[in-house]
Amino acid sequence: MSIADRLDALGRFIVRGKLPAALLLLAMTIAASIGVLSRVDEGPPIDFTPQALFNGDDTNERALALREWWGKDDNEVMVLVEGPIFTPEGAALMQSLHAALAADPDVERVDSLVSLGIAARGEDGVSVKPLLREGMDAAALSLAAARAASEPGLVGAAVSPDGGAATLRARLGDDLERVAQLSPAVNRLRDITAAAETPGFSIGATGIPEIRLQIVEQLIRDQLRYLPADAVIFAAVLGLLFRGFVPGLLPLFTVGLAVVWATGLLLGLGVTFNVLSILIPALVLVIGISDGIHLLTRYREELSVDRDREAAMGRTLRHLASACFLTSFTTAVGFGSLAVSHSQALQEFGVQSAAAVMVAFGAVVIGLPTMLAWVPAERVIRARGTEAGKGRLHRGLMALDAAVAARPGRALGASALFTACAVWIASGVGTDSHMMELFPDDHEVVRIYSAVVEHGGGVVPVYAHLEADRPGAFREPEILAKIDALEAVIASREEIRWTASTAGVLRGVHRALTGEDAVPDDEALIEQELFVLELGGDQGRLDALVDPDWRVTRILGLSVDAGGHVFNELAEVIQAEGDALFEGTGVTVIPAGDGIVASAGIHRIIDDLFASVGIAFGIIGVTLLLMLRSARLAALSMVPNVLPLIITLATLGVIGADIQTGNVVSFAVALGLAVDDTIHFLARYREELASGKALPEAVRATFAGAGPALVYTTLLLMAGFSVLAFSSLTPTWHFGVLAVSTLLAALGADLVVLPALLHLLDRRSLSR
Amino acid sequence: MRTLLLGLLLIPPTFSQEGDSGVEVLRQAAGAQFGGNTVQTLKMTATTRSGRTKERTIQLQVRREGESVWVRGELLAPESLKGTRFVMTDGPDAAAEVLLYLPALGSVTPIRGEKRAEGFLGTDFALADLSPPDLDEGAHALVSEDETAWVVESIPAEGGEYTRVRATLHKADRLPHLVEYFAEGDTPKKRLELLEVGESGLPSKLKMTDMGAGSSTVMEVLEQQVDVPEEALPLSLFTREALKND
Repeated sequence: MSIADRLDALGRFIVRGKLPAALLLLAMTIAASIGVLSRVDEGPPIDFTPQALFNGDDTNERALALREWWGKDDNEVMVLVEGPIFTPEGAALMQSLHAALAADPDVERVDSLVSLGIAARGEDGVSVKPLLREGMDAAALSLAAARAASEPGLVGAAVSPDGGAATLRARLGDDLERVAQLSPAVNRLRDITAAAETPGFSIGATGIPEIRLQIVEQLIRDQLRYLPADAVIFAAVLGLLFRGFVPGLLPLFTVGLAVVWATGLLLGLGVTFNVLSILIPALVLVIGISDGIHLLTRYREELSVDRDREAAMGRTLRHLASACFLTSFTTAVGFGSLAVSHSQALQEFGVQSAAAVMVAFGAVVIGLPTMLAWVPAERVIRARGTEAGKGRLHRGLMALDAAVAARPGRALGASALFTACAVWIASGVGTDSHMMELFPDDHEVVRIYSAVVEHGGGVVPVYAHLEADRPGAFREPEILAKIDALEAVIASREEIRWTASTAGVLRGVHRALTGEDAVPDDEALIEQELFVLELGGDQGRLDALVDPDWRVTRILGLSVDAGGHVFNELAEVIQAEGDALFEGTGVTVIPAGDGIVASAGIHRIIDDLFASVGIAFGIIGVTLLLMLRSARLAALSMVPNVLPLIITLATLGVIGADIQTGNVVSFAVALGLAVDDTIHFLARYREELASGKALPEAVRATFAGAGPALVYTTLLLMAGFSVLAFSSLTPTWHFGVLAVSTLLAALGADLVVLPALLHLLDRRSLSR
Repeated sequence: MRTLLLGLLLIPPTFSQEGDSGVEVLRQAAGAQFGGNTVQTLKMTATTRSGRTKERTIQLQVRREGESVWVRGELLAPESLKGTRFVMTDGPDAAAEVLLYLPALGSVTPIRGEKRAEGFLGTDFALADLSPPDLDEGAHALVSEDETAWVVESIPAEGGEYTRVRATLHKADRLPHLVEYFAEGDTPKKRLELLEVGESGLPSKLKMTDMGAGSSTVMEVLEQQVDVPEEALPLSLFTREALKND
């Protein structure tokens, strides 16, 4: 029995045994729902870390290894206070805010002007104390402001040079890993900052925990909007298309099942959605609807032949199930090709999406026939498309076919010109990644970040991790001098706003004790000046910079969100300068920190892009070769699928975006979706050729037969994806915009480029 | 300043009567710790999580007159810190600063620190750990008692580093043999153990463990003289000049 015969038998079996089939659907849906609900009950199964989106594999492992030494540096909420800090009101606000943050049970430490001890030389000796203390009068505050402006340990990290802004950095416990764990603490800190609002001052919070929580909150809000919005759009379009409420909505109901099944499967397997994979339910809804429409359209046609539901469903699956499988498979290949990416988020998205697409295929191929089996034949046949609309579309498609057939060379020339323009626009698109790229420019997170930068501060931590081959190495004078030199190199970078190191701390103590601005160069003096810190009880600053054995240390820096290329350059500078400085000393240098780790993968974005698109092209090409059994046709069919990729790239140029980890996903997906139209077009074309038609007539019949379905499904998919373009998360709206432009380009290519190529190059068919 | 003195001078308590409440037990223990003039040599060995140790040997000379206390410390080891000296004073008219002499600089510098509560001399001892609970603030309860020991639990006044301190005092010597400091939950953040009691009945070896950091510090009393005559500890010993010239 051939595959087609088996599919025919399956269709008949479903209609014959519609009750068991329905019960099977119900059981699977209940099981999937339990899978979803059990996970949701534990908290939103959504998490996000910037590292997962941007990092590369080895850098991620390195970052995790360095956490053993320095803890989770990124678990820090930064509260920005804008206003006259060195006034009685400002000082009181800082004191109360600091105390409130420090009192939170999940806050391990708060660093601010209220707590950071500064060694300073005064008339009455050396003091090691914070700049803002209780009971300071206006004169003392004025002196503190002058101190702040010249204190390298504070400017850029805790206070602006003009005293117009200050930050409080609340370090949350390392045990708070997932967003669900962070959420209560971050919300409490939000309440604290809200309660501290004071006239004349502006208070806002940022930092990785805040960003992670905001992203997850936005993802949940988006989900609550996309799915209902898509459902409404699809219901309206399907209702109009099929002019029948029940049959028209059955594809929608089926993809609803597909969403539940796919989500249930993934969550049941323990998947936690990330900023990309959260799109999977919406993708299943949008992509699955296409197969549903094709199946319903064909079933209606077959049913109108003999009114025999069993036979009609058999013929429907015989003719369409393979094509639907191929389109789902190629889409899944597009997604699945992202598994070769270096980004953990992309890998997860690719594999999970591929699985979900195939689940959706199964849900539609089994679910829709089961549901249609319960609907009387007359009711399905009666639900016809709008004749007027169909007529206009038919006439338009016929005119297009005539124009392409008359001058295929000119059609290809015009397409080539259009492609050249797109290439020109696309050539201006580069690669980069920024922490803040996830948000639009007017987002509160970006506003606070920008305010920090405007006030001379940095947000993104970077550091040089130094490890010696012996304990106590970093107390040695010559090693300290090299740390000081490397810190100077880092501090001289334009993107760096603040640095700290053991050498810098010692420099401060030495300056306070002697008035000399230098790092002590005598072993005994180093020990004795460190003893000053011990005596003052101000070891806390050193704890973040050096291990108790003084075998491991770091030069810490805060940077602006300078972008992946700048961070990579910084990493190269740290590595090169560090290696040169510490050569032969037994000290190794490792560039690290969120900025550098998050950017390590940017070198590989283009590699990832080429690898995933190349793999997708290869697998899809082989699939088409097997399907078409013609190398020439398979080669021709790939040509119109290049254009959507170029248009995707050009669209990035038009919206002024770079190729980023968050949108590189669109290219492989674009190919997977674009090839669907090609498959449907060529399947019909071969069917028409097989019926004995010559090439021009076969193409014309294909336009007439498959054209409307291609147009309808493309419009429906565009409508579905366009909803994503309203998200305030950049990866989501990029995906929506790029998908819409890709689908439009794919339809254009399949209705202009592909038939033109067939007219010109499918000579074997032409000669026949 | 007072907390430092109390902590470093663990003079053995001499109970006059049995304690029948938490406050009473602690009051007797605390009251007994105000001794006279003393000279002590302490060795402090701090051990990190990885097993790396750091030793400090320090001689402390303490003179008391009424509510005023003068303390002079001198680092005897390690070699790089040898000769480093400091003077602290406490009392109604005491200066707020510490006078510090660093031999490498050859000069005396007054140091004003406001963060001394965080750790003492780079060890696991915080000054607050070394002091008995303030009996006038917070709540203190005798939570259990058997034939050998009292267990007293103190809830410090708000704002402190700890939420609860539990001390086990042996009836035989009236000394706190175990003090546990809680920040949250039922796992102590730090743990102070009395390891040895000297022939004189004084604590001679104490160990403070930071449970979270995995580090610990052993404080050993190498030498101890009590009731040292005033002539041996003249006030001139606690001056800037003496620090520099000795």
